[in-house]
Order: sequence, then C-alpha cells, then structure tokens
Amino acid sequence: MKTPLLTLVFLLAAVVLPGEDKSRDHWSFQPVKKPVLPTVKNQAWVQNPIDQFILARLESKRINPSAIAPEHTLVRRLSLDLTGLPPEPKTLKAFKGDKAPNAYRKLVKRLIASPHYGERMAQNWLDLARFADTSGYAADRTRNVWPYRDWVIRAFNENKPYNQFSIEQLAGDLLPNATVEQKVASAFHRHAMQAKGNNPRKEEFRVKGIIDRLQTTGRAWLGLTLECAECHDHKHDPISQKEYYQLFAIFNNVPHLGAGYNVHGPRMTYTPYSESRARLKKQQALLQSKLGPVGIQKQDGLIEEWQKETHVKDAAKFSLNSSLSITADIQTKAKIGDIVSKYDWQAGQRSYVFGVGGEGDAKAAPGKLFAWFSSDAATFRGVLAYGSQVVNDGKPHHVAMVFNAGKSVRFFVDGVEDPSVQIEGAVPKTLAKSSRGLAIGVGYDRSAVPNVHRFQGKLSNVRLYDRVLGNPAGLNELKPEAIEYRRLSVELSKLATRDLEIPVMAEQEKPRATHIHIRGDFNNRGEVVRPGLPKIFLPLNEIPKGRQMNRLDFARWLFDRKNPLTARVEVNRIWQHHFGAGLVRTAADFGRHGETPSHPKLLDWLALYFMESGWDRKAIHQLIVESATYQQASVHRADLKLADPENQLLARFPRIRLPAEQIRDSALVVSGLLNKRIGGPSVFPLQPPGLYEERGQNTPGNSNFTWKDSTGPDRYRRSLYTYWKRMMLHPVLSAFDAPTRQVCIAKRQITNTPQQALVALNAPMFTEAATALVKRLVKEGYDGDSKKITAVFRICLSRDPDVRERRQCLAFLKHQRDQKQANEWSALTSVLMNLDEWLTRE
Amino acid sequence: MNEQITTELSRRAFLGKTAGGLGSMALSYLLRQDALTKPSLPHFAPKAKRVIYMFMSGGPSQVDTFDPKPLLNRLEGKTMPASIIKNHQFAMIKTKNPIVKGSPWKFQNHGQSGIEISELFPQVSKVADELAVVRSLHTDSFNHDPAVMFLNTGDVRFGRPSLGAWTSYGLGTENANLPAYVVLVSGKNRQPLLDSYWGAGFLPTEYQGTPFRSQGEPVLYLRNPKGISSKTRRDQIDLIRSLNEKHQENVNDPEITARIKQYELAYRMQTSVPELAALTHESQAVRTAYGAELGKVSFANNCLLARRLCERGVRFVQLFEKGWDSHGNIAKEHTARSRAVDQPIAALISDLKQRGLLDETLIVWGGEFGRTPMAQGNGVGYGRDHHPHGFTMWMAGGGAKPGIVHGATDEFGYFAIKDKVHVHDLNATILHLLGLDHEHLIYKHAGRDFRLTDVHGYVVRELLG
Repeated sequence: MKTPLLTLVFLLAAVVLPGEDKSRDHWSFQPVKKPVLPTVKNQAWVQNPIDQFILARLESKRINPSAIAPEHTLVRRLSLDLTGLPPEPKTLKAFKGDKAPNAYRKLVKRLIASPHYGERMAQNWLDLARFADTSGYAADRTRNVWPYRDWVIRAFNENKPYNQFSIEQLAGDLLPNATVEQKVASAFHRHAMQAKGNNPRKEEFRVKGIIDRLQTTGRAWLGLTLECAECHDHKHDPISQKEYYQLFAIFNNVPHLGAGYNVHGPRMTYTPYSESRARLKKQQALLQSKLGPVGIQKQDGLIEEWQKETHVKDAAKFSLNSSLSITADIQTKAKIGDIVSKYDWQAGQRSYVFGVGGEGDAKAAPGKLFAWFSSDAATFRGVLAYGSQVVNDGKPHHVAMVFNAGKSVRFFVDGVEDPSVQIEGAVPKTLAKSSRGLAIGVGYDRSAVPNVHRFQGKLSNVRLYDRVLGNPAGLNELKPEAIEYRRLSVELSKLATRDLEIPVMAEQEKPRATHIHIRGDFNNRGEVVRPGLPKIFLPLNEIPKGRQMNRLDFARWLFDRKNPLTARVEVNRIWQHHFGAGLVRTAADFGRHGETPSHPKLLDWLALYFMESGWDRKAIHQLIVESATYQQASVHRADLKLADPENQLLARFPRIRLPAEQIRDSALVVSGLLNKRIGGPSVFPLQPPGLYEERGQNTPGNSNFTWKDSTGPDRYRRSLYTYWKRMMLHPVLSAFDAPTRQVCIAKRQITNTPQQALVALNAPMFTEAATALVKRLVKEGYDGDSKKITAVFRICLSRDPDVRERRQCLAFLKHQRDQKQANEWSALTSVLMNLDEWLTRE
Repeated sequence: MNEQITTELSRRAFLGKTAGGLGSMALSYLLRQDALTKPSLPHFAPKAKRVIYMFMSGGPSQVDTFDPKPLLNRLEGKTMPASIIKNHQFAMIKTKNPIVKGSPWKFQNHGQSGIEISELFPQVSKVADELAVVRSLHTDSFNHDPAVMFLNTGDVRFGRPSLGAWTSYGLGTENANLPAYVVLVSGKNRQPLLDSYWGAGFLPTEYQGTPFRSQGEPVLYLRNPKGISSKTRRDQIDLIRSLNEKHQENVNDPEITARIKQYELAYRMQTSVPELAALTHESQAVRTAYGAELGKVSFANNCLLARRLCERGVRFVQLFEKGWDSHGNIAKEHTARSRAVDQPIAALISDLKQRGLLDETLIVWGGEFGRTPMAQGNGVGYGRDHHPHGFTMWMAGGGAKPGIVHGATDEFGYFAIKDKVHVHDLNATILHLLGLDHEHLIYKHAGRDFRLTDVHGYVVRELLG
C-alpha cells in the first residue's frame, strides 16, 4: 500500500494539536449540573419544567409555540410513540368521552403500562444492540438468540432501571449468583457479526468482534466514537490509542475465538418459557391430583426398595443375570450421577448401571439418562443406552429403565417412554457377575467401595424389579386421566427437546494479554496495556487490589453518578424517540465532532431527573409526553421557515414518517389481522419467493437455509419478530429504512423513495390487509359507501373524513363501478393505507 | 471549458427538475440536513458519464486469462520457490510446498496493440485494442466477502457505501424513471451475493443498488396486485394525490409534495421497467450477437440489458457473474465461465462503439482477487487458490486509454511488481474518469468525514486516455 499522505497529515495534526486540554473543556465531559429553571412570561402554557426550557428560548426569539394538537392527533401520536400501534376507534371515543381533568394522563399511563410498550421500545434498543437472527458475513447462518430479544421486551415492560438493564447486558455473567435471565442479557455482546473464520483468520475475526464491542459500547452508553482511536489517537476527542486498547483489554477476556460462526465461545442451555409448555404442565398437574403421584404404585416383581444412598456389601445379592427394571423419583440439577450401579469398568467389574450423564463418558449427554449392561465383567460385551430427555432441570421426575434381556433397553420419564433412545452394541441375553456390591445413588471407580458419581439432589423410591415392567410408572391405563396424562407428557417431551444453546459472555480465569495494535493491525503488536479507563474520566473507585478491572467494574462505572455521559446519552435518545431528533442531533456522538445540544440546560435537567428517579425510563417518557411542547400541533408554520428551518427550537411538533415496523404493524391493526402474541422464535411474514436462491444465500456451506413463509397466525405477528437476516433483510422492512443490524445504529435514516410506494401499493402483505379491512367493515356491520367511508377513515386515520374527502372517495368508488373495474373497495382501503397521513406520525 | 459549462448546466437542470422524479427527491434532500454536506458535482469535466462494472465473482485467474507466465509452464510440477511464498497464508492450500502450475491455455498477441490474451477469450481478443489492461492490481484481503467489500466499498468491514452508491450520490441520475444504480446477477451459485456489496452504507438508502431480478418481476413489488387493473391503479394514484394535496393544505409539509412525486415515479416505473427489461424489443440479430436468449438468466442477457439501461440514463450498472472460484477443476470451470462472458463482453463493446456510447461509458472487468500460480490439489481436477498479491483487471471506453497494458507481476505472476495499482487507486481512477475527485467526494457520518478511498488512493494517470 502506498504511504498515505493524509494519514501523515493526520498523525502530525494529532501531535501538534493542543487537543487534549482543549478537548477536555468540551461540554459533554463536564459534570451534569443542576440548571436553574428559566423564567417565562407565558406561565400558563407550561405543563412541566421541560416547557420552561423550551419556551424561554422561544420567547427570547419572539416565537410563539404552536397550539395544542387536535385530540385525534394526540391520541394517535401517543399510541404510536408508546406502543408502536395506531389507536382503535374505541380508544379515541373513550378518550373524547372522558371529561376528567386528568384524562390525558390516564391515557398516557395506560399506554405506558401496555405490554406493547416494551415491544416498541425494544425496537430502538435492538438497533443499538445489533440484534439479528443471523451471524452475518457471507455464510450468514441462523443464530437462535431470540430469548435475548424477549428479555429486552420484558425489561422495558417491567421498567427495569436503566443501570440494572445495562449492567446485566454488559456483565450479567459476572454478577454474583447470576440468574439465567442475567446470563441471557449478557448475550448483548455476543451479537457482533461472526464469520466461519477458518484458520488463518480466527484471531482477526476475534479482534474484529472486540472492536465491534467497543464501537457498540461507545455509541450506546457513552455517545463516543471510540473506534476512531483504533489506529491512532482520536483526532477530536481526548482518547489516545493506548487508552483505546486499555478499554479493549476490558472486553478481551471472553473465552471465544473468532471462529465457527456463533458456535464457538461460551454458551448456555436455555429452556424458553413457552405458553404451550406452561399450559400443558398445568393440565398435567391437574390430572396428577386426580391420579395420585405418578409411579407411587408398587408393582409385581419388586425385589427391594431404597430411600437413600446405600452400599450393599454382599456382592452376591442383587446379582441379577437377566431382565430387570429400575424406577426412581429424582430431583437434580447435576449433570452426572448414578442411580443404581453394579458396574466398575475401570476395574473390569461390569454388570449393570443406571443413572444420569453416563459417568461423564464422551458419548453420553450430561443431564440425560443412561444405562450400561455387559455380559462379560472383564471386557465390555453388551449395550450402551443413552436417553434423549433432559432430567436435570431441577424439577421432580419419575424415571424408569426397563432392560429386556437380549431384546431392548427402554427409558421412561414421568411415565412416558423416551422416543429416541440411542442404543450402541447388542443387548446381551445374560449379565456378568460383578464383585461390586449393589450401590444406590453412587458409583464405582477402581474401588471396592462406591466412591464416585454420587447422585446430587433428591433420590427416593429407588425400586429394583427382576422383570420387564410394561407400565413402569404404574399409571392405571384403564383410567381416561392416565391416557390423557400420557398424551400430555408426550407433547411436553416434544417441546422439551427445543432447548436453545445461546451464546453468552463469560470471563477467562487467566486474562489475555492485550497489546496496542499498531496502526490498528491486529498482527502488529505493540506495548502491553492493562485494562483501564481513559484519563478524561474520573478514576474508578473500589476495585479490590490485586485484580484487574473487568466488565462488571466498567459497567458499574458507567452508572457512577459522576459519569457525565451515560445519563445524557440515554435521555437524549428518549427525546429523539419522541421528537425525531435528539437535543444533541448526533445521538451516537457527543464528542467534539458531534453537534452541540440545542438546549444544553434542558439536557442536563433531564439527565439529573433521570438519575434521581433511579434511572426510571418510563418516568422520562411520561414527563416528555405530558409536556406542552410534546402536545403542540405539527402543522408547518410560514413564520418558522426562516426563523427555525430545522425546527430545533420546537415551536411546533415534528411530522415524522413512521419506522418500517410501524407501517406494517399499522396495516395489521386496522385490518384486524394482528396477532398480538409477545415474544418467541422469530417468524417469516410473506416474502417474494426465490430471493435467497437468486443470491446463493441458501447454498450448503453458506447459510443453507431458505425462507419459508409462516402460515397461520405467525404470519401476522408484529414486525419486530421478523426473522432478521443481516445479509438480506426482508425487502418490506429494508424499503422503509429498517437497518440490517450489522453494526450498532443509534438513529435510523428516513428516506422517501418510489420503492416505498411500490411496497405499500403492491406487496402482498399490504394488499392482504386492504382486503381484510374491507371484510372487517362488513363484519362490523357498516352498510353503504358513505358509512363505510366514515368508518374506514376512523379506523385508519382516527378521524372523520371532511366533505371534500368523502366526495372524492365516493367518486372513486362510482368511477370504478362505471368502468366495470372489480375490487373497488379494497382499492380504496389500499389508498387509505398509502396516504402520507397514514405513513406519518403527526 | 464548454464541456464543463454544459455539465454544470445539466446538473442544475437535474436538480431543478422539480416536475418529477429523482430530481425532486434530491431537492427534498437538499432541504434536509444530511444534504448540506452534499458537494457540488462533478468536480471537473468527466470523461465517462456512466459505468458498466462486470464483476467476476469468485476471482478469475490472472495467469490463465490476461497475464501470460511462460515460466510457470517451464517449471510445471516443481515446488514454488520458498523465497516467494515465505510466510504467506493461503485460504485453502494446506501444503507448505505447493506446486507450480502452468496455464493449459495458449496466449497470443492481439490487435495492433499486441495485447496478450489467452484462448479463453477469443471474442474479447478481437476488441483487444479497446482495452486498458492492468496487470498489477493488489488487494488487502484473501477471503471472498471481505475482498468483495473492499473492492466495492474500500473497506473490508460492513457499513460503507459502495462505489456505485458513491457515484449515484455524487452524480445523481439522468433518468427520473429509473434508479441510478442497477445490479444484475447471473452465473453459477457458489458464494452468496450480499446486499451490502451494492449497499448505500451510511449514505441515504436511495443511493443503494437496485437489483433487477432475472425471474419474476424485474423490480420487487412492481406488479399490481391481483384484482387491481392498470386503470384502477391510475385512479388510485390520482386519489392518493388529491387526498395528499388536501392534507398538504392543512399541514404545509414539503415532504408531502415529495411523497406525491414518489408515487408518480413509482407508477411510471411500473410501465417503464418491464418495457426496458423486455429483450423482445431488440432485434434477433442483436440478441444473437450478444448470445442472449429470451427468458434465460445469463450474463449475455444482462449485457444487453446493461446497454438498454445505459441508453436510458442509468448511471451505474453492475453485473455480477458468479462461479469463478475455481479451487478445483479450473480447466472445466474457467472454460465454462469464460464461455458465458466472452461473446457478450465483445458484443457489448462493439455495440456501444457502434452507437457512439463507448466513449462515455466506462467498462470495468475483474474479480475481488486473482488466483495462485500454484495448484490447489493435483491431477486433472486441480484448481487454484485465492490470490491477493497480484492480479488483473481491465477497463474499456469511458476515457480509459485504449490498447495498453499497465503494470506487471513478477515472472511467476505472484506479486505485482511494476506500477502497482492498489484497489484504492483503481477506485480513485474510476471516480476521476467520472469527473469526481476521490479526495473531495465526502460524507460526514459518525463524527467524521468519510470517502470511498479512506485516506488512500492515487489516480493512475497512465490509464487516462
């Protein structure tokens, strides 16, 4: 590569610039100070302190704020902003009918309490988190991390304080006694794109992943373009390259290589909460109360029963040599533990053993049943059987093993036979005699006394039978409840196999050495650096001596009250959510190259309020939407064109085109098609066939996956549940500027293109909605063109048509009929769903 | 001087064309903040008005096509000298002592310029005098997607705008009814093609490449839904317009005016695009010359379509021909790929020349990297691995100097050694031919100025006609 002249210039500039001191003075690095509330003349207009800041500026410029927006506009604005869904006509009617002075506040509170609030807010956060359903890069494989998405939705709905919300995502794995949910949250920093990373590239991809973590962390929490210091000292902000790699070191200790798509690195098994699972469990519990506990009945052929760990010293006892059955009640979280053993393979004393996790054998699955039988004590001659059901979920289970000599080995969990037991070897006709005495709840390893694989948890009713049990759970097959119980168990076992392996964060015990990468080249290693914060920030308190700063320390430091950025950055984004632009318009850059705040004191006031509220985001949303500033009309005013062309002073509310998801979701709402289910695996709404195939996105070795349109109710889920393919996002979403989420995005683009018109007019999901809306009108009993027109305006635009609009719509319908054109009504509903007013939050 | 005035005028005319289409869209952008940084363009008189970029996805072998290396045939079967390949990692070759492999194809001098081209390209050889062959390209990456990203966007990472997006951002379009940047795909599936290759990155989405599909609708969602006639569609557009205008009276938002125009444009695209994409409008003789066949997905069809797009003022057409990644059986695979592209390329060059369009249309040919002079595997089924250190691309028309060879690799075809041309230099040169200064075509994003060539790139003066 040629010597880049410009780089030299920049390097020189970095050296010569008196940058550091000057940049330290930059506003965003100054502490958040409590501003004095400005006084205003028009005190009557003020709803809360936000308005004082806004109005003071306006008054100083002799600009009047706009009048309050019409009721229908306000309800629509609130509903779309807080839940991402347009209001139903009945909501508007109720609001108009509510004459209480706090009617507006009641509506706000109701919307903020709606479970759809979390869905709408998650949408913004998922852009920042670069959450997607595929790994990115050419192969772009499916990654099942949707429980993280659901965690975000729940966290918003529960109004998890922003500090806790953030700490769990940055370092949930490092929290003391981290819960499953906190670990799921830590998936945040496993969302970086990940290629296959075949051998020479592993380290490069690993480093890229960390650079992405820093870029994302910088944009999302600090509002800093940290990535600018990857190759050289930051040219504008006081972050040296060395300091960049000190931050890098904080994120450099994940036991993860940049390889194998997202398969490599720390993972956790996650059993998703599923409504159907919960429902089945409930039904089963009900049946069980009628049947009595499963497996309680003793059956014929019982030799002995034990209630605790036991060692039968006499090896001759229980030396069965043919068919046998064992049942037990267990409750454990351990991966490995023997239930019954007369088997010491290391010492050549084999006979039979039954338990969980196969004594840690490589072929066995931890947490699942296993049994081994041999007809020869010294050399293995027999069968290895491995179950497919997880039994170490910490819940009580009745387990059973039935050994039918020379024929089969079967497992039963809660009375239901495991449908896919793995059998290796031939089932022996006889069993060897072992010199080991029968052990209950413990196993053998080269020892006459049982010494290993102790069963951890509860173990009771361990029963040994010398025959094949036909019905090991002892369910009374004559009772219809028993049959139903068994059916439910079968269904449950099908659900249970859908556990997910989620990539999460973890910390290496021995930290990796971090070097400065000279000119950003990962192969060109310079000085070794220790984890630390840039000098510009206050020193970190309370790190115990003798250990390095880790992610958890870093995450906690973000929420140190003296941190000048974290609160400002988040309230600014909340502001951006409502006003389309933040008080700082560059939401991801509060550095010297970013824009300065339009209302710096308001920003500080909000940041302080936010911190003092305990990082309560719902409180900030409520405060903003209850301000008079928010409630203004959005009509463009001639006097503002010159005085404030970019509407930074906010003498009116901004009209903003809706995000992609809200455009489609609105169509689903008005057509009555929306399936309001929250969470779960991602879905596949209609997409033109063949798209993946055309681009080679479905080929083996690459994603090896193709789009299959969801059928049934999944087709009408909210758009945020759409399978988010980074390398080929759903064309309807991308047409309306939804980001691919390859990287962290703090603010979406808003464009206005002919493709958008083609999508809204022609995409099957929209035309399907237009047709369904016509059916809805009929179903709801609207009769005659004029009444239907009123209804369709109320449903789509939350208002009545005026005379001119009604006349034009009637003329359109008549003209279609005169011209003998079919489908005039769905043509009209489609028109409504293409109006600027429909596409825009006013 | 005159030329400069003309282009300046046409640019103003373009921006001022408020009556319809993208001109007004650009105008609506100018009203917004993003556009404040929009440069006044072009920077100087362009040689090329548009680009047809023939992207050979997977990476064609330089030593089998445009860069003859007789030494390889002489040393065939010998171990590649360690002094050359020391410390190099390969994508797929596992052995530390790979074997030299000569080209099975014969090279000959062609035309008055005497450019040497292998027998894989008999038709292209006939227009050798039009080519400016660069044998000294080198790039930074040896895996497909980073290398394609690098060639197309100047960065191996995702998120930067592509060359075509920069071009349409800088120059806009000449046809209000069509996108400025169109992507056409053909060939044999091997590596996936990603939206990001023709993405707009942080530029407004309208500058991204629009893939024209070879099957089904040429542009997604172009057709009216079932049950909606073209008459009804016209009436719908009219009703949308009058209801929008009515609302505009209430809210005075200029964005509504822009929206009305986008709907008109969409409507016009619904008729103009199918007309444009239908090769039935071309004579049988023309189709035969290109090797195009109606209803087929082929590079030949795409070349003909590219010409039709250029005639209609599309700024940047990028053709992706997949299947050049010959790790094994290169003899068969390169033969198949070159057969698919050879005749159409030659036909397109001749056709453009005949129509007087070649001078203002820059053609660029090449892949994301070359292939190793060493064999991967052995026997009849051998192939060649990815090779970033020296490879060949060529240009034709559009102000590129015709009938020259620029730069050279060493005698193994391994390293570019003479007049090296880095990917950034190539991109700087392409922009230069379009009248754009790569150091001044900038966009502010995430707190800093970005350009296609980052802080690199030199215009290769020797390639300018």
